[in-house]
Amino acid sequence: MNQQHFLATLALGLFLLVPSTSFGQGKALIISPTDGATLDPLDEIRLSYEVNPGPRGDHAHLYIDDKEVAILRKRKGDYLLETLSSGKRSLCVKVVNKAHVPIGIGQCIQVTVK
Amino acid sequence: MGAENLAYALTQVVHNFGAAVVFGGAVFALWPVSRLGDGRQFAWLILLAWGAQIASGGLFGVTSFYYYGEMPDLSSVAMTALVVKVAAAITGFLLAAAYLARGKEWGRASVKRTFQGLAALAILALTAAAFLRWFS
Repeated sequence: MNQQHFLATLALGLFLLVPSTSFGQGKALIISPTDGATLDPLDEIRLSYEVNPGPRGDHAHLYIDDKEVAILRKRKGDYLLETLSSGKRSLCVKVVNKAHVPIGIGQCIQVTVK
Repeated sequence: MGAENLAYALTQVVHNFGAAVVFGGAVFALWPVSRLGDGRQFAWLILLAWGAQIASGGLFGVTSFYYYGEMPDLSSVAMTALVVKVAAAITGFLLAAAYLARGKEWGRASVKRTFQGLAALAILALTAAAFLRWFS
């Protein structure tokens, strides 16, 4: 094995083996509403979020009661929640990869709609 | 991350070339001049390509499950597109297999309709793939 071949093999091996944590983690934050908030359905309810998909993520999905309702492609923004019926509701923003698989980065809050 | 992306990328390579062959094979057998005399060779190629489509499609799910323990989250539009795509792939595979099994007994018009059907299924699958990609 010549030196060039050895270095190429070593570089490929390191590329495959370096764990993702060394590249830093992503984050997903629900800025508003706040966890536990009580919302008036007559008001315009907007979910404000901030996402950093990190090295494994690509974009984010928004879920209401575990049902996907929106694709969030902006890193930071608002989403108008039009279909919130009364009662306790779970709102989640989860980072997903290009294959749309949640990668374990996200935030969920509980709100009560009057 | 490198191994994960490599797994997705290699699966995507198979999936992309499979898509090119199911569409290109069926169209090239019919146009710009008819090559239905070589229909069996085209059908074998198309059969293998639909098989590769089905296998690589499943491999996307396996890769996701291996790395994250769950399958992709799909919206209702994307899920509908996935069902259409899978149905087109299975139908395409079975149609090519049926032609290879019994096509020698079929008339020229039937053979032409078979390849037109294979081309239509490829167009359907490729169209559904776009909706699957961007509605998730």
